[in-house]
Formats: sequence, C-alpha cells, structure tokens
Amino acid sequence: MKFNPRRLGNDPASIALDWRIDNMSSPAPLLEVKNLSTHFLTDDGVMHAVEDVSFTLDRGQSLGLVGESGCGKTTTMLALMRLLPPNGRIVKGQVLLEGRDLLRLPDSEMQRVRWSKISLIFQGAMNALNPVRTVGDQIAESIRRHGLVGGRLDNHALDQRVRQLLDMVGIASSRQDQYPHQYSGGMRQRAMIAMALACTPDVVIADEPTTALDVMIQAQILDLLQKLQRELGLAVILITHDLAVVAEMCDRVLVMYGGKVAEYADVDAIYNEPLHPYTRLLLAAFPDLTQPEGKLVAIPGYPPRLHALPAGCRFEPRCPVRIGKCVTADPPLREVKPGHWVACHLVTEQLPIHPTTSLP
Amino acid sequence: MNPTPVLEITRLRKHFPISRGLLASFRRRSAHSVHAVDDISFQVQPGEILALVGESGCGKTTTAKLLMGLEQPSGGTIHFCGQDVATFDLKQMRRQIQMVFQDPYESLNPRMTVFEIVAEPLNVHHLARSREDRIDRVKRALKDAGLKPAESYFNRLPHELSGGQRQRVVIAAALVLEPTVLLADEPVSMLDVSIRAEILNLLTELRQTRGISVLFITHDLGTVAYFADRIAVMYLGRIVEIGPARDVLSNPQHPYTKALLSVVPVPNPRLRRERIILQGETPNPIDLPGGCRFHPRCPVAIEQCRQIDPPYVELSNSHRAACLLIESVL
Repeated sequence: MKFNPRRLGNDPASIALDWRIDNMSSPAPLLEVKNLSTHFLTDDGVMHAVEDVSFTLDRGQSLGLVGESGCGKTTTMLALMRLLPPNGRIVKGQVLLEGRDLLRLPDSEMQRVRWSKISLIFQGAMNALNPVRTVGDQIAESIRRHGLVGGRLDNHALDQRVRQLLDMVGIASSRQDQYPHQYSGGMRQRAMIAMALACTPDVVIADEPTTALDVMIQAQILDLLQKLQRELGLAVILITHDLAVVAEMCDRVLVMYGGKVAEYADVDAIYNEPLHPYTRLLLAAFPDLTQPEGKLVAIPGYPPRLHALPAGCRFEPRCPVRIGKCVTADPPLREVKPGHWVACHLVTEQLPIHPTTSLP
Repeated sequence: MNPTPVLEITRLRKHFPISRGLLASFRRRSAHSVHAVDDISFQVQPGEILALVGESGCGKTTTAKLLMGLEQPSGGTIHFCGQDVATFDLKQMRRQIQMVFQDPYESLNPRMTVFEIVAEPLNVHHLARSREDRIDRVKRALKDAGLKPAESYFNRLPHELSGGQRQRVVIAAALVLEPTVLLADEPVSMLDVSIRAEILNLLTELRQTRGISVLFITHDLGTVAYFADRIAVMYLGRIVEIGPARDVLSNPQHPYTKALLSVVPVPNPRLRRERIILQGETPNPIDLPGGCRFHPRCPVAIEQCRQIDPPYVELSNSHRAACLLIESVL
C-alpha cells in the first residue's frame, strides 16, 4: 500500500488512524471493477460491447488498457463513469470505489464522484476544448462545477487555483487568458490534464492521450503524467493501442479483445511471458526499434462484429493455434499464476502454444 | 557504381512569403517568409525506400508537395531519372510519382466504387486503350495491392471496407499508373496496430516485385526501423542527418537524431530508458535562430553553435550529419 500524504491532516491522531488503515493486512483496492458488462441497443440488435470485465487498481498504480479499435476499451471507461450514450446499458457488474458501488449511487451523488474522485482526459485534445472560451476560464469552470460542495470560492482563490494547475502542467500562467487556437497541440493536451486534475481526483482515466501528437510532444506529455502520478499519488488508467507507451508507463496491463478480457497481468509478464495468442500476435505486430531485424507479423482477419459474436472464443476465427473446443466453448478467465489472468483453453489445459516466431 | 538515381534533389528551397496585413501589401513584398524547406539535397535510388523523418513543421510534407509539383520550388532543382522536372509537364511527372495519403477514411470518395476509384487515374491520363485494357490494369493494381480476388472488390463502396482494405485501395489507385516512385505521407499512422504491419509489408513487397522506390514520410522512427533502406532526419527545413537506416539507428550522430531516437517508446518494460526530452516545440520557421537552427533546444550546444551554421560532416561515404560537435572519421 502506498503512503498518501494528501490524506493526512495535521492532527497526530488522524495520522495514526491513516497509518492503521493503510497497514491493514489486506487493504481494499482504490478501485475494483467486477464483471462489468455493457450492451448497446442498436437497429442491428444487441451489441455486447463489454462483457465480464474485472480489474483492480491501487493508489498510485497505473493500468494500461490495450486492444484494437472497437474492442471495448473506451466503453468500459464510459460505463465506469456512468457516461454511456442513451442506448447503452450496464447489464451486470459492480464498480467499487473505496468499497462504494458507483453503479448504485443516485445521479446527484455520482455527479460529485466524477471529477473529484475520478476524472477523464479525453481522446483528441485538438477538439475537446471549447474554442470560444479562454483556457483558464474552462479550467475554472471544472472547479466551480465539481470541486466545491456549496460552490463557495471567491474569484481570487479560483484564479489562484487555475494558476497553480497551469503551473503544475508546465503552462505559463500568462497564457491563462488565451484561447485554445493560440495553443499548440501539446499545450492543449496539457490544459486538458490541468482540467482533469482540477478537483484533486484519486483516479485519472487517460483515453489515448498522445495519439495525435508527435513523438517528442508525446514524450513530454507522458513524462508530465508520470511526474504528476508520482507527486500526487494518482492512480492512472491509460487507454491506448500503443503497446510501447504501455510498456513505458504502466504497472499492470489489461488486454481486451471483442469486449472481453483476454489477458490481465503485470507489465513484465505481458511483454516477456505473454500467454494469450492474441497478446503474442499483438506484440509481434508492433514495431520495436531495438529489434529492427525482426519481421512484423500482421494479424489475419478482423475483430468480431459485436452483434454477431462467435459462439466459442471470440478470438477463435483469427487464432492461429485454435483447437476444436475453441469453436464451441468460450474460455473462462483464469488466474494461471499469481496475478496473471488469461482466457484461453490452451493455456488453462496446459497445451503447448508455439512461440510467436512460429505463428504465421 | 550507382545507376542514375530516380530522384535527385539538389539544394531545394521553398519559402512562403507572409503578408503582414493590408498596409504591408501596399509596400513592397514582405521581407518575412516561412522557410519551410531550406536547402535540402538527397537522392533516391531505384527500388530504394527512403524515410523522411521529423516533427510537425519540419518541412517533410512541403518536400512531398514540391516533388508532386503541387508547389513550385523557390530555388534548387529536382531531377527525375536524370531529367530536370521543370522541363516536364505536370501530367508527365505525376504519372511517375504517385502519392499515398495518410487517412484512408478521408481520401476515398464515398460515392465511388472501388473500380471507379482505381480506374480514375487511367481516365485522367488517357492510358487505357480499351475497356478490356482498363479492367485488366485495375485488376492488376488491386492484386498487387493485396486485394484478392480483385473482381470481388470492383463494385464495393469504401464504407464496406475495413481501414486496412481502404488503404490498399488508395495504394492500388496509386499503382494503376505504374509509377516509378511512391510518396507515402504517414500511410499507417491512422491505422490499427494489427493492420499497420500488413501495409508496411505490402510496401516492402512492392519494392521487390515492381522495383518501385518509396519516399516514406513519418514522425515515427519506430516504424521506419523495419523497412527503410536509408533515413533522412529533418529539422526546421533542413536535413540534419542522412544515412543508411542501420547506421542512423545504431550510431546516431546529430543530437536531434539522438533525442528523437531516445523518445521512441520501446515495447519492453525491461528496457525503460533515459529519454532525452527536448523542451518546447519546433520553433517558428519565420524567425529562424542564427547559427545552428537546433541550438536553442540542443542539450549539448556550445557557444559557437549560436554563430555558425554547421556544414555537413561526412561520417562514411553515405552517412553525414550537420553538427559542429561531430568529428569526421574519414
């Protein structure tokens, strides 16, 4: 359990209390998602966008959520924040934040959780800011809206806080009164991060935070996220399709395929002892600068359509090592080693999976 | 030893003048201009894949536009197979140099079928001798772009295709004229990881089967490592380092190349490295810094860098870099 200075008051008794809580033998994780399932009702029928996704997140930890487009990464996070579009339904599961099920909270209560407990850095920094309002004003709004119960904060204090936030993300406070179009892409992403941090959340969800950015700006933003995570004890969920970014940033990795968890393990295990054939293929398809001699492997076929899912394993139609059972039975997610979860018949039945190099 | 290069770019420059409002336009032409491409030279050999790498605003796309004849150079020359392209007419040139765009979701007309899209360049250039010939050429282009069986794609519309298939259609439309050079501007950056590999492998295949040269424009050194023969690194309109891919990646000499390489994330948590993160962004190409244009962001800049614009230092007969701190090994 990590030490979190923000939870400590000046009162020695409260310090003692905090330490006792933090030292309990099996502390509850900060965020625990259990069997979360989400469906969309569409003209084509029910889309099983997310099915039985479970993970835990401790304070200060970072989780990488990876997979191809349409595998349910973003939907999982929107469901967790209860921000699904009107045709989306959470059909099953629990989202426990410090033991409290967010899915059972009344709307007004949930409103308070958003931003002050869990906040979101949106995909596409270029378009997420309002073009006709100054950046400082937009950050102030998020404080006014979510931060203070009762909304008692004079303008001076608000201004101070906005400056402090901009400073934290490396933007000169003199640029507070500028409009988004006067910012470069990297600065807009920094402003988005400042906005997400406005109400001192415990969990920040970053949805493809660097996808549209140049490599050097990407490095700056990732560096900033790591710094803030260290300094503020933030827990971060990083949604991305970039396996290399996850390798550099995350402690745990959740690989999703067709709305389900394919593999969930420590970052080292995912990259050095991947077990699921999909994880292996994904890694083989990803360019690695340190191994320019290797050949890139393309994954044949396409991700499943979510309203016409295969009866057995969702990856079966594309899997190079499938067996008969994969066609009929959906493999359950099993913990095969401590902390290493895999949903694959071959792994749970201890059949040999050929190393990546022998995959076609 | 070398055959005539397919493309030979010599001291190419492109400056865009900027007007400073109405009043300034009454005076003489504004003295200010954006130095988008500033004195670059390189060659592309037949069947070679050259990667042009740099951050946004470094001039890589302007270079591509100059090669396509979409912009007129302010100075310097472009030779195609030994002939100055200034003497070509546009159509002649574009038949030989074709472009593959970044975003296959935007670059295909949603109301045209795959056949119409791929056949369009043939109509523009009046190349098909007959109906059969046209069908034949389209079929061959689709097949070479990896869309098999080609006939089954003829009547499909772009929205029926996946991202990877769309990019293959874009490539087929470029191949149908049987060009000598493909200009690929970030052809995989909009695609999913699983599809990227297949497009990159396709480009490599085309080089082998058709002997096409590829000029690959990207900001991502990671992708380039796999298949470029040579790499040219651009910064603020200049090529700061150029050489064989293996040399540039394993033995980068220019501090900018070193920094760019260090920030490419590596998909292995055991190799988390020290990143050289350059602060700020590429400066405005209007007010170019004096001396070496990289010195304000350079982590190892010395006093002379402020004054002297560094000349190229030859590191081997094919590898050169422009930095005062490099000593020639030749």
